[in-house]
Amino acid sequence: MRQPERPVGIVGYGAYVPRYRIAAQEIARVWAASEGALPITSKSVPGPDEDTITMAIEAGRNALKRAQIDPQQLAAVWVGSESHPYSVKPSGTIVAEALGTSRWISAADWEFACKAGTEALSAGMGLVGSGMADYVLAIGADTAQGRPGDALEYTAAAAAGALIVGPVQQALATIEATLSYVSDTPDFFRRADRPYPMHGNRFTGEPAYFHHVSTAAKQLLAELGRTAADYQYAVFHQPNVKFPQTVAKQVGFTPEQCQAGLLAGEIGNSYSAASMIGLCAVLDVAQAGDRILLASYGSGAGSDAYSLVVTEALEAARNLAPRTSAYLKRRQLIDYATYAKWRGKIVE
Amino acid sequence: MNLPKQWRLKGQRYRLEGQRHSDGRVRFPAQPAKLGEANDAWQPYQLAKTGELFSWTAQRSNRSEFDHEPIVIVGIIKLADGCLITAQLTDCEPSELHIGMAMETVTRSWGKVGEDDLLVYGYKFRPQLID
Repeated sequence: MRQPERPVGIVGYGAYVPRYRIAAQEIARVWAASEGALPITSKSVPGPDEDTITMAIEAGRNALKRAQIDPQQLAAVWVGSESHPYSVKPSGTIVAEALGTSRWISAADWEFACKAGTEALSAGMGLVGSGMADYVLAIGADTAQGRPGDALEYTAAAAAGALIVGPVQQALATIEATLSYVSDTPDFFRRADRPYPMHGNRFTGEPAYFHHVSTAAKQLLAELGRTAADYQYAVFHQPNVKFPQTVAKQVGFTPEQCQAGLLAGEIGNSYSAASMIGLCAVLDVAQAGDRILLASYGSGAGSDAYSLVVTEALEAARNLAPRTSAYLKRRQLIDYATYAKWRGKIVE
Repeated sequence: MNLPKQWRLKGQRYRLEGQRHSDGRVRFPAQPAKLGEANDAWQPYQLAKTGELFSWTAQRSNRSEFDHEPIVIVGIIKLADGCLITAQLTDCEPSELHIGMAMETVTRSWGKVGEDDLLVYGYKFRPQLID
């Protein structure tokens, strides 16, 4: 496991979920031949004026409000996504400019399927933990793509989660340690010229998601000399509801420990944002002293695991920006025709 | 496409950057100093990010860029610092709006320009999120 020489923590966090939802039953009404079990209840849909950049900006603003720092104090703005609006031109510079950062920063885009955001988080720990910087903004944001009628279409959603890494003295939650576990596993991929990703159906499960997430989480617990019972909360990447529930059981967590951070049933799989907004939802309710295990997953494949401890400072900071539940509550259902139009699925 | 123009306007579009005069007047967007004015008479000033709905209208016949939004809602928002600003409203339906309701700014897509799709972002307002 890795621990920075200079202790670090999350000094600000912010979530963003679009207002619009489409019910899984509505997608099934259009595409499914039978009434089988659906992986989620509904998924979030970006409005016609939203993309990864606009969602990252709002999540970033929420994180800055809770951190109570001037945007000029940020040393880096890093945006992890697999749906950057440009193939060539960074999202990071647009987000940084909108947030009002200094120009003397690192601004970049990160990619690793659904764990691009936590890759930025780990790098932020390195930059702050080495003393090279005081504050790094790591964002995971996606407007995920799913081929019409494909299983992915039921879950491919949109959201953003933003975490500011800073000195442990100002932390809302300290990051005790992290580790990453990766392998070359082709469970899900998309070439640059293809509009939709390809996935390996059942192959995305056992050798991909479950192997990487459970290995990373178990290894981190073992190296820290802990068990799941030492944690109040656990957040796992959530491509649907069943996968995180199953991997939680494999690692030793109960459904109760995972409930606060499991949002996939309501908003679907928000890819790079999924584990990060799960953590945001937990930070919205956690108390000082609570321990949180976070394990992301990115196809291709790998998992980043973190152990966090909530500090006394969280209580006062959480109300400085909208909580994740505020975004979940403003749910506006749309039909498949509207969804298809907004997501560019209608061929002219 | 006029790349320099898009680049030059990002402060006002992304951060509601205007100017405040030493006598307290505020103007938006920022303008160059006029003849006879001191260069530093107007200083950069960020408009308030929240306010209340002063007036609004729903436009149902719009340019082709708005094909994805059959109804475009445009409002005038009285900001917390007293300024009035005209902006597109988002994340709402006409039936949800009433004069005086709390509004807040967000950064959203304003569309694409040029045949190679330069993405343009800017301010819009929405009903204030209730926590």
